[in-house]
Amino acid sequence: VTAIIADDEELARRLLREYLEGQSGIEILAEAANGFDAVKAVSELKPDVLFLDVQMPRLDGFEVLELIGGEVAVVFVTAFDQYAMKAFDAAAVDYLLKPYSAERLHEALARVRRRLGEPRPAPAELRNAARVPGEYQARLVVKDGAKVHVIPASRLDYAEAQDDYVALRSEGKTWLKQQTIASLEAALDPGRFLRVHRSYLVNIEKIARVEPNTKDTWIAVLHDGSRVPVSRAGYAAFRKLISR
Amino acid sequence: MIYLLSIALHYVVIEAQTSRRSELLAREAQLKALKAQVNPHFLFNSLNSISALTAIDAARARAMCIRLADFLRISLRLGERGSIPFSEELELTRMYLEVEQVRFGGKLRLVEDVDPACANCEVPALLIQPLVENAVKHGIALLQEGGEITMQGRRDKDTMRFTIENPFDPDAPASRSGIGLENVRQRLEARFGNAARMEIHVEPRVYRVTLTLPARTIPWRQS
Repeated sequence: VTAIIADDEELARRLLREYLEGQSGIEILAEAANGFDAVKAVSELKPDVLFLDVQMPRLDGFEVLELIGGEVAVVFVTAFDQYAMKAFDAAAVDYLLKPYSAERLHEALARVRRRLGEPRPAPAELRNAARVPGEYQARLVVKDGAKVHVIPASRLDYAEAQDDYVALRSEGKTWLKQQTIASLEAALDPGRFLRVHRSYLVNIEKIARVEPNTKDTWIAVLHDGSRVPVSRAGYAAFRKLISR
Repeated sequence: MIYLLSIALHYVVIEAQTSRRSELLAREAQLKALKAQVNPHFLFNSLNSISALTAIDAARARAMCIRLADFLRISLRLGERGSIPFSEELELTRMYLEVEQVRFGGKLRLVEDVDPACANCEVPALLIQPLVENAVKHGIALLQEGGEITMQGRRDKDTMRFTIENPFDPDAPASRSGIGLENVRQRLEARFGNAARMEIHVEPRVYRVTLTLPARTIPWRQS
């Protein structure tokens, strides 16, 4: 089994390395001290398992998971996070609560071995499970090859559903992300983003005007000139929101 | 008619006063609960560092155990007291930061510039502890290269001013906080009313909190 360790604390990485080196059949391919390096290392080295700390500089553990989720078995390593526990149950092969014993790590490795090759849940859904109620994502992360792009939610113009992907439109560029539009909608502040159509989610601040189109449809014209379809239900929701 | 109205008004006023008093009591209880809370992230991460150190440097592991125990013991004791001299509060934050320095290694650097005349100024117990925790958790911990936490204390005849400053990553994912700062503000207000204030300055990469409070001294006592 090949492994990568991602933790920003050197002592935490050394402990995990010490435990892993005491096990047979484990090869540590790399260590990463921040989220970007973790994503890069996983993309390049394709390990079987990633030991992932939740709180790290640059990208947190859930963002890393979103970006590499399908590629590798993830074992979360964290001190304490009551909301994240729910997501661990759903998403990770296992999770280790600091401080943990060598025996506990051994169990986690056994689970990794058993579950190698099993299908894994869609990573973007996991963050919703881990989110604190009433708090929303302030930024979106997208992987483009080995590169990671961070889009602040305030700079997202709109999102369009495209099969299993959403096309994120921001500052004249389009980014594709593997996520359903419903899950994106759930992740963003409903006071700022409105589902104006089955396939479209719009940043309200970016709307310049809404004009009638056909009998039962409208068009939202954004400040940059983009035109986004608005359904009858979407129009009703828009009216309700602006009348508040 | 006017008589009846004035009686009615009288009862309305009494009612308002009673509800305000119970509101204050409720808030006090809430503050007490917050004070007694030890940050679980800090505790479990520290224990993990100790676990790592036992195999690498047993003497440092033991030193960290003792530092952590000192911090926990003193914060539990201070939590029960109302006001303490600023010197005791500062000593507690030093213990906390020493433990965090083991965890973060060279990433966490400290600059302390506190006027000795601040030492016997009265502050609510554990007032600045949440500020120091925030500076580590939302500042230094999320910076790849780490950074410097600067604590400054100034005192003139009537006022004491405490400033804590830390660099932060403006692009870091949104944090789950705000409770700590609100807690500090409420406790300042509960203790000093309008005479104290908390100001927050956010520069592109620097976060600074300044507390200004009346320089009231309490007789120094053995604790």
